[in-house]
Amino acid sequence: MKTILLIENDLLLLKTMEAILSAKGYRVSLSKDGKEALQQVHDNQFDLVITDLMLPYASGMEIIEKVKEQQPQTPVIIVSSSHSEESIIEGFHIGADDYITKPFTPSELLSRINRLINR
Amino acid sequence: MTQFFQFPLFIQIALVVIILCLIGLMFTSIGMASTRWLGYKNAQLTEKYEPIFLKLFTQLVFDFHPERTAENAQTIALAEKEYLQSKKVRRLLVGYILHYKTLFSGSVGRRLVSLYKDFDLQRDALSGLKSNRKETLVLALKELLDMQVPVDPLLFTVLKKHKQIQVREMARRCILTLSEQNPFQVFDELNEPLSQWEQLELFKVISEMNYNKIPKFAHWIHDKSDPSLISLCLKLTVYFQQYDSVPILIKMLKTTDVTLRAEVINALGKLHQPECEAAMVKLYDNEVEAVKIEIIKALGRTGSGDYLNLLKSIFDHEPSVLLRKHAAKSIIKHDALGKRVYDVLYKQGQAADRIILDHVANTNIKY
Repeated sequence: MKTILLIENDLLLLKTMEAILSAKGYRVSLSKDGKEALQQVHDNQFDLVITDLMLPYASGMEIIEKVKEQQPQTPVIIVSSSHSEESIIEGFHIGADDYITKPFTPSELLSRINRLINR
Repeated sequence: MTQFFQFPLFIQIALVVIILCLIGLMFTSIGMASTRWLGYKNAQLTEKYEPIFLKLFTQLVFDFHPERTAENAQTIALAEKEYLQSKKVRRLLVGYILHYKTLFSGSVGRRLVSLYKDFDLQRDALSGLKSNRKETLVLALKELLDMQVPVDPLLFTVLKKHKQIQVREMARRCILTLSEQNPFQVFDELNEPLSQWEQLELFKVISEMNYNKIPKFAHWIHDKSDPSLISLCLKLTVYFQQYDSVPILIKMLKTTDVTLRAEVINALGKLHQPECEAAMVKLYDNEVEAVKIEIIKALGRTGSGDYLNLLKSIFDHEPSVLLRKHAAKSIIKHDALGKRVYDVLYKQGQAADRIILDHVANTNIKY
């Protein structure tokens, strides 16, 4: 069973995405802030990481850098409300594999997850 | 009590102040305790109903299967019977729906609206429209707007004349978004200035409207309209690139309002129609600097090349650095035609001229 790390400080979105991903057969680990996420990345191996950019304690960019350093094969998807060109370019520049802006459709996110996790 | 009056005056004053402080402290403490109590009760409610609602949303929204009509209808009926009789629980559910609407788009967004209507959740917002409290009215209107619930037009007729400006603004947004017939009646009936914030909100609403509902905004661009409405309509004319409005905008150049005149020129430039250049250039010599800047920028945007000599002359002779800078920028915007003029200016220019020319030629600098 593939494991996904979901990092999001919006607790409702976190729980909802967990419910959706679990229903699709993924094992989901949750982090509600950057500090927890960095600890999780340090302690565990994941098949995919989904992260927001604006997080307490550590930003999504720091987390992506950490993931790419410790688990370079693990793909990363950014899910952010920032539509700015700079954020998107920076995200890809530091190693993210995909970028989705909020609001989004769960089916779109699931398609992107499937594509990355099964490559 | 008689003893009180026997004390010296400063003691009496001190006692009164102490008592007032104690009363204030008591009210503050009661307020804090009641806020905490309400927060605690809300947290309990959320803890109890969140798993139920998540399951509900998963079945009816995120993993929705329309062919399972019997199952879906049963779930809705059960929810109605079990949880939604209580207003507090209904409001909690509406809170979730509104929050989800900001997170999810597409079919999920539509499904959330559909769920809101299936559960008849608009009943609370509709009854909120009868409230006398401004905050209740505004929140109710916002909810109905977000959930695209049509409202009795007569009710809007009352609300758009409400004494509170926030209610009037929200009612106008609702009419624009939710009215099937003549949504732009709000512009016809406008009898007060639109605040900057409201202009922003209306622009956002109108720019996202179905294209076949969009009118010709030049209809409201005339001297009898409020300047704030004209300003909004100018921006919308540009946004929707309504080129046939240019003759009307050219007529508006005669307005005595300097700010409005600058905005009209700005709009003409952004419509990229060279036929307005002559009318703008005619005004140049008698205008204030802010309007001159707009004329120069507009000439760069329209880019016919007919007034390159004027732009060159402005760069050569105007004492204002701002005017010279914008003239140089507009020359560059003429592409190949402008490049020749630019090169001549650079070759003939002094050090100070070249600083300006280098600045405007740098594509990394946006100002």
